[in-house]
Amino acid sequence: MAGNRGDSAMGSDRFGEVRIENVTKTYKKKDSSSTVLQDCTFRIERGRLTALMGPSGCGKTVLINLIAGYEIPTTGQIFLNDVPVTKPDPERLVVFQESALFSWMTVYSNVIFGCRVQGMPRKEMKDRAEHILRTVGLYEFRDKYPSQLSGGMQRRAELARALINDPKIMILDEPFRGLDALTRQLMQEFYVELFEDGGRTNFFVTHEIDEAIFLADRLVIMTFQPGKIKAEIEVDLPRPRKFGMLASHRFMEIREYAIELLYEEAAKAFAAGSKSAYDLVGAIVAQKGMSQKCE
Amino acid sequence: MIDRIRTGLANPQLHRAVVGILLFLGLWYLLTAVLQLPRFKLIPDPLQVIKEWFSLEPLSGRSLFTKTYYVDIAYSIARTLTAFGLATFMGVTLGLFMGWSRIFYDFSFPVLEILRPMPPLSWIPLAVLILPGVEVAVITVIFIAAFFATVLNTLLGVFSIDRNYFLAAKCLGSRPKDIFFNIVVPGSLPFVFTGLQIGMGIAWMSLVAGEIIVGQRGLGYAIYEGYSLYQYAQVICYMFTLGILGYASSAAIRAVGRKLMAWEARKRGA
Repeated sequence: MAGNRGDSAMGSDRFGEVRIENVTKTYKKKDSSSTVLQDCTFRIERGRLTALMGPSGCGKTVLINLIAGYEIPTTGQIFLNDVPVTKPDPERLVVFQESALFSWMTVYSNVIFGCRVQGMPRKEMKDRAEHILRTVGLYEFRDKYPSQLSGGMQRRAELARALINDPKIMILDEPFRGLDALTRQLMQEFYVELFEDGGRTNFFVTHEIDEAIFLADRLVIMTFQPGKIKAEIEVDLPRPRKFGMLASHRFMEIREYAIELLYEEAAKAFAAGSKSAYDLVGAIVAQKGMSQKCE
Repeated sequence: MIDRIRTGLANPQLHRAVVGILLFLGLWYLLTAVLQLPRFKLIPDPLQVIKEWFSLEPLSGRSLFTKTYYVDIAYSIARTLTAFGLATFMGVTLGLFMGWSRIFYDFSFPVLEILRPMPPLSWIPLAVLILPGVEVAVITVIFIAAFFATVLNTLLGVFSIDRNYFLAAKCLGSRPKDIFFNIVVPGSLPFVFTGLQIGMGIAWMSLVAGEIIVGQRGLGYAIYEGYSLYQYAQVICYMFTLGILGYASSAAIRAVGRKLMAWEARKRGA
């Protein structure tokens, strides 16, 4: 599992490939049942960054819970490297929407938490933590409490807490939500560089279309209630990614196409009265207008 | 050192506190010594109380310079601390487990909610009947008072913990015991300490009542004795003694809490 950090181990099993096969998730209530996910089948390919987009209420968080192993699919199965997922495990790490850093622990204690509860020897734990803290630029802040850090630093600490376990896949649930625009952009740049250096399998859920295209190798777009896979788009922009690419012709093309697909779903969500969908429709309409101007 | 005292003395908060106390004493003096309102005739004024408190040969036989005074204090402190210690230990433990295990909660919450509103003093008859000796009965009554405040606040503390913390801990590889000690315990601390403060307050209240009803020795007992023997200055001295002890114990709990929850103090920018 973790501990296999030699560079020779690249490829093969070091990072994971997740297969989601015919997954349906239904919640039973007293006299009715609601299907949140229906027949979802797609892959999170090894060593690539897959971004998931869809209107609010399409079951993105449920999908994350299933991949993380917090919940079990009603039918269908999820595999990591051909092994069925049944429970949470440090090989599939989730970085949460809101900061889930333990507020009573220093940055250092937060970062080593996973290693500590898994019983890693002290020396190795310390070396790893120092390395990872330097990577995310928080070494000087290791003795601070989360509340003493800025929003961007908290996000980096959380990435460090996940990365130190050398997971086979990182699952990020709208991790940059709530950051101010500038910090968000800096975090995207930081994160994409981290991804490009490590080559780890990443699954990134987001609302922001520009963020998704800028970061991802592949976009997966979901439908609104019940959540199905609507489309998968290859993002063939070159790596390393730079912010300049946001103005490139290819970026605009992909964006246009993705917006088209998303807009249909957002409109459905809007018609269904989903309140948060209202925001998405608004945002997309604004973006449509913008991209039309660009042409 | 001297600089520190100097800045301490220049602190406007301290000035306001002193003025507040002086105003209170002034009002008391006005009502008793100056105006001598009809219902206040028997009440000693502040000077009389202080005189009695600091007297070498007090009328009541109890002052800062008599052994009896300290024996009374020792009895009361010993009773309160024993009961409070037990209540903290058992209350926090029970509260944590109730918050942590849904099944245990389902079993225990209804019983807790029926027992909790019963005034601690209503337990006195049963305590005296069941328990050996008056001492244990008094301690039990104080214990009951502090216990329920502690359990309830600890329970609320566990419920207040962000759900994401549990999810994050789980996916980082925690076993249930890791979650208990790393998430449940520290996460509920802020509420636990609120509970301890409330518990300590109720403990002192119940102490006095318990001592008046069944006690031998102790501050509450002495207050009642002073009342029976027309030693009103003694009654007021002892009331203030209780006030000071209560204040000191609350301050001690706050200090321990601040120490254990350094992360919280920093959040508040202290």
